[in-house]
Amino acid sequence: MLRLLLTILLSSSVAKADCSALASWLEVSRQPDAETPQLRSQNDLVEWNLRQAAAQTVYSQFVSGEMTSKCLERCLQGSPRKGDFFISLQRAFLDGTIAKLKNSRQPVLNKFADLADSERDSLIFRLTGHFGESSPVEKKAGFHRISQSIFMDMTAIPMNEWPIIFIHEVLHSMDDDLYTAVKIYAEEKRVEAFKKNDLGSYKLSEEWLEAGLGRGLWSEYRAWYFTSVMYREGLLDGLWTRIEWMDRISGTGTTSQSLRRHVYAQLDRGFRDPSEGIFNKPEVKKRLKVLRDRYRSERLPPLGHLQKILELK
Amino acid sequence: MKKQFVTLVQKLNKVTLVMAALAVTTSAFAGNGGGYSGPDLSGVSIPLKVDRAVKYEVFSKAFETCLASGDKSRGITPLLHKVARQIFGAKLTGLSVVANSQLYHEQSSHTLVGVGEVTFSRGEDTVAWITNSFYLDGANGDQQRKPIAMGLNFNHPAKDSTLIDARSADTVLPYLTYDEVVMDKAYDDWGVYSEGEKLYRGFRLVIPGTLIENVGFVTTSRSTDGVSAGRSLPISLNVREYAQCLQSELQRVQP
Repeated sequence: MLRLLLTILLSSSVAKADCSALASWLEVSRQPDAETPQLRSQNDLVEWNLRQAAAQTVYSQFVSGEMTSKCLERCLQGSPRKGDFFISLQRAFLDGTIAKLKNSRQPVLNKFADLADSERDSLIFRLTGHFGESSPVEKKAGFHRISQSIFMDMTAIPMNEWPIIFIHEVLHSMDDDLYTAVKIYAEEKRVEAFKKNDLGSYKLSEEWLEAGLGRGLWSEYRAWYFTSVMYREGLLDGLWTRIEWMDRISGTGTTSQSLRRHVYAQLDRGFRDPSEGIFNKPEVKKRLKVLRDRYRSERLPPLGHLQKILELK
Repeated sequence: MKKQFVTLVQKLNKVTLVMAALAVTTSAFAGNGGGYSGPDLSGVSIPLKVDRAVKYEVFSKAFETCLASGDKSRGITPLLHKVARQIFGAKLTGLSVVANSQLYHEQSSHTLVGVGEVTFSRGEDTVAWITNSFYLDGANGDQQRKPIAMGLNFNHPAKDSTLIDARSADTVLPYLTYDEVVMDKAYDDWGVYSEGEKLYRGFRLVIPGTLIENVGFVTTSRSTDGVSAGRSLPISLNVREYAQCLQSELQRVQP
């Protein structure tokens, strides 16, 4: 009984927001068409500006915990233009997140924010988790390696974690090495060779396996390393509070090398080798094992392009 | 112009049919590789599926939604519909909107611009249509096809006219650039491939303008001495909104 009461109290305190942020826009968007093309054109601009402002307010309410997806759904119930609003809200999330990151005075985070700012119009970015906009996979967020597009679920991601997830996904989109690995991995001659179990020269298969890691484990390593660096920087700036699972990924190492080693070890443990199809062949298994052991115990994969754009002068 | 547009659309349809052979599955669109974000770091060291590029029809569907057809169930209003409402206003009440969209592809400069058509009809009669169209320049049409701007046609006995903006579509509307076209072999999970398909790699959205006010459609009407210029209309073209729609739809689209 006590638990039930607590649940009711907590849920009522979270959804503080009413629909006032949307009121002006909702009213204008339902108005009948004006008499002349000129007036109709002007009204479109008024509607657009009100929608942008409403979206920014709703975004702020989300960040502060005053708005929930359910509350927003209720506000937009019956609006024939709710999809237009979510397109504006999506942009508000994008702009708001970048603006937050630009407040940082730390070197890597600051450089990243500038790069994200310059790329924001080109980013293929979709806000999911509202109405019919479900995420394409059961993840909080994701980056598609070919279309280089990002989705982020506004319902599933806690707002304190939102900037971290954003950083991680945008890092993938900035990572030229990932794109290169994707192309090599999909090269016809290599795929053909593996299909026929004709492994060809050692170099050919070694390159193919490295490209596979380059778009799998290693791409996550590159992105999570810099996510960890920026997570720590953001903590110094007070941009977010501690996140338990991020602390686990980034560890307590104080040098760049120890952080790199820790992040790689964390990821390496969670990434299993494929065992289906060609990966079931002893030859391929052996080569993959040798490759993974080498990077596990001797050296780390290079941070490549991301290091070049975020750390080097 | 209408006839010319329809002919070109028919040609493009044939090309589309040839190319639209494969379906990108949900899992393929998700990128397959694991370790996406957050506390869930499970993954496969080397993803099982090879990567493929993005299909023509994915772009086409995104352009179609944002430019011409919209999505009523999701409450998304397309750009051309907004333009039409500015021009016709309440006169559109009760009229049906027929969307027909194809993708313009300019290979030489690695750009893709959406083209589309919205037709407004009352009963059996088509009263007007808006096209973001293109024309053929020279004998080798496919190689020299260039986009032109929004065009508006009235189908009225007394006012057989066309409104054409002076600017070309690729300097007004957002477009996509891409790094390369590959003739992908449609690999399955294990690298077994079937027929080829034209696919694109490394695309980026480019927004040439922002909010364009007073687009200034120039009214041209037929007269005894040919086509003469007329008035301008105070239309606003919200390019920023169209781009935002594309930013989202290009991630969402599932053929």
